[in-house]
Amino acid sequence: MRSLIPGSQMVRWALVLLLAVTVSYPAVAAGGQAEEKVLTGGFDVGPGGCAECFNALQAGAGFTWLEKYFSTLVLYNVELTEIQGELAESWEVSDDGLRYTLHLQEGVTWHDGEPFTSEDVRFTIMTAKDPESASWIGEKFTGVVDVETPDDLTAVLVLEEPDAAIIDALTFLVMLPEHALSDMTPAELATSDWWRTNPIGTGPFKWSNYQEGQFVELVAYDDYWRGRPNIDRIVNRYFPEAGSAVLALRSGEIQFTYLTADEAADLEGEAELTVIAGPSLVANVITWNHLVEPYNDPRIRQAWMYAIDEDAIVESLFAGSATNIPCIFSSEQYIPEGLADYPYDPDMARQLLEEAGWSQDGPIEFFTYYDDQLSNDVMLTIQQFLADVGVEVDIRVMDVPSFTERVNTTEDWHVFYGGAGNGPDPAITRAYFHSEAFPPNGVNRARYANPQMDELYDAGQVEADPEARAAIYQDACALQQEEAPWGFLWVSDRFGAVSNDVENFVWTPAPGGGRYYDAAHEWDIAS
Amino acid sequence: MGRYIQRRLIINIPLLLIVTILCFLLLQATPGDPLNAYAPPDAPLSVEQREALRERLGLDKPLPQRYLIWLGEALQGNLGVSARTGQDVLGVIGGRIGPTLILMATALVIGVSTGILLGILTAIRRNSIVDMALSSGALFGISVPVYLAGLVALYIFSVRLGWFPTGGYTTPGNGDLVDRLHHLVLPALVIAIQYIASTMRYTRSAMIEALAQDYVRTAQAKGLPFRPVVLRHALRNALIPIATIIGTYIPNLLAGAVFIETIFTWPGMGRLFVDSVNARDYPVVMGLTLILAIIILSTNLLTDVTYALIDPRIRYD
Repeated sequence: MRSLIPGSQMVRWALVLLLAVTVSYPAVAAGGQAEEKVLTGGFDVGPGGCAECFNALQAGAGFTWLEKYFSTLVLYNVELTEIQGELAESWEVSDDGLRYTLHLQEGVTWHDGEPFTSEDVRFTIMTAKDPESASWIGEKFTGVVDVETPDDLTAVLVLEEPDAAIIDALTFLVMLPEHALSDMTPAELATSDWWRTNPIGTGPFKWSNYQEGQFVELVAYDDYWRGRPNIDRIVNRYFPEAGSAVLALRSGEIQFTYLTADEAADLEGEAELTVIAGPSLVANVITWNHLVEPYNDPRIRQAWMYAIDEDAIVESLFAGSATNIPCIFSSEQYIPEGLADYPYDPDMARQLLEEAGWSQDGPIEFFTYYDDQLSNDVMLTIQQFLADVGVEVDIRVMDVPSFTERVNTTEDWHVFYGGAGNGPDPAITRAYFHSEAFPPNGVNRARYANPQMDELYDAGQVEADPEARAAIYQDACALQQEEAPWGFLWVSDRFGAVSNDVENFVWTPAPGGGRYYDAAHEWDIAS
Repeated sequence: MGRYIQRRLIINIPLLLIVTILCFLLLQATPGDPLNAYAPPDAPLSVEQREALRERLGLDKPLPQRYLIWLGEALQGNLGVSARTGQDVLGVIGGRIGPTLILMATALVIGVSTGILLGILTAIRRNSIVDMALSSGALFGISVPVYLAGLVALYIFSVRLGWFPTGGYTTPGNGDLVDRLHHLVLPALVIAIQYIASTMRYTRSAMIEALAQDYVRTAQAKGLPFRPVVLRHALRNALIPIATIIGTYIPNLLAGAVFIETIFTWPGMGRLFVDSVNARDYPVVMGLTLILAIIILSTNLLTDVTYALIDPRIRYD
């Protein structure tokens, strides 16, 4: 205690020194950086990302990043309208729709130098579909009874029954190296450290360094089959708070991140940045519980839709960066021409409510798992539109696991606001509307059952001809518009921003990120 | 003293048990389970997959059995594996505890040392302009929520002035000592603000009280210079309430870590806790609770022991 003053003087000097060091540091660091080309981004920021989800069989999102070192057999084009070859350069379907023959790209090697072969395809699919892998992606392959490997570059998927969505399912499934993983059981692989210590893929970059909670770093793979990437090192930084990623982008620490609509509007016009917009392929919807009266009455559901002025919400809250939808789909090919959305007509809403005998004892709980400001504003606005026609709702926000538990396992709820992926492949919406897809077998949380809808989805699953298939989903769309099993609101745009120093950069805010060809080996940094 | 510490340690054992039981029950009462984190909200897992997962995670066993299994393993130093990633829980926490402790310790040292200094200064210059300025500054420091201070500091010092990085623990590809310090300063200072403010206020009032005591007047009367009177007589007596306050800072710091670690992208325990609760990762949440409880109980003990060091009149026998 005696030496308190000298001691505190020391502390003070230490602080001054510390400050001097830290303030002068950027100058020192900038001088030391060499000619290496590095791209740093927040690749797992936003709804398309999944920070530190390295198990590619279980990841619910984050494919933009996973595909930097892993590869899938096929991918979408960047417009997300068509599937093209990747590790499989082409494929054909047998007439009965039961055999998919995939011709693999020649000269593809794993990051450890081993060749990529049809055995890897077989291994990956069989591992993923094993229930022990706990892979929701693997669940899409349960209908695959066998993968034949007539030679190293040919793999044949043998299906139990035709499944037109199997090619879309392949865009989710990254290939895994059999030679490195065959001594692990699917259950062991599911929780293995391999995913975050030394994963081996066939992508343009290979695993280099992972710092938990901070970042993961990949380096160029010299023997990438399309040629060595231009960028030497690519770094994915983690931002638990999306706002911090934007700050890092503004200060030049990172060159790319996802943005919210507000942030995108803020950054518009910044000279060094380019804002990228794209449709999210996630439909925002109102979901009623059809097991609870009176929501099984279509008039009630239609009344809600007449009561809500969707155009006004899109205009004022989304600044026009959202598109109204008449059914679950937003891709033009699945919407019948001229099919109209419910117009804003409060009188019609009141009339329908009266006809259906609407009455309520108190406010109805209108809940969501979205915790962002925009969704909150949307719900408040909907609340007012509903109040205007005599429907009183209370808004409540829940966290995702609580929400899921409630809507999946209980019938004790009326209506929620949420999002549901609607593409690129239309078959994913089967799990929302097919009567076999009631939880826990699917996510038909509305418990909507209509044999006609079941038939359409079953037909769409089997039909391999794209045009005939589109016609089937158009019929489903028309039926959804008429019955309003859900309240179909809009599909909003999502945004990203990239520094103008980055050349040839390709990105679109796909649902779950990635799954489209982005030619990452051609990305470059301007010198 | 040794016996006292022993006794305190023994009392802590049932306390820890209660904490873990409460945490276990609360987790069970929370809707949802670890399975929810295995698929996106709009995609299903099949019934077979759910059963396989349940079995692997041990969720098919009855509640009391699950707790006892956990407890038995924990006693042998095994906190299990993450329900989400299969990583060893001790390993996961071990990787996060360092960054949190470094950040909190730095903030605490800055906060307490600066706070005591300013407290002494304002006490001996009572009612001067310096005192008034610092006292109203302290009010401000206590009132500003730490996340707001963090955002403002980030905006001014990182985005506008570019003095500090906008967050993170190290620069990817760097990570030497200077780089770490560079990342540490801003979040540590932001956390320190409220501790400077509150330590200063406590020190000020404790010092004012001590300075008015008879023994201070006696010391001055017998001709001791001002500095030893303030430091050796008044401050030493004023330190006891301050030590108590510092003891209460520790749990606060750990709880506050959640905000600051999120804003500054700091890879610490606070963020791990939030992420694990959201994923319903029971083993990680249990492990974190246990370790945080141990840290907090130890600090309480340490605080009590410090009293005896500051004030020889206090003896624990």
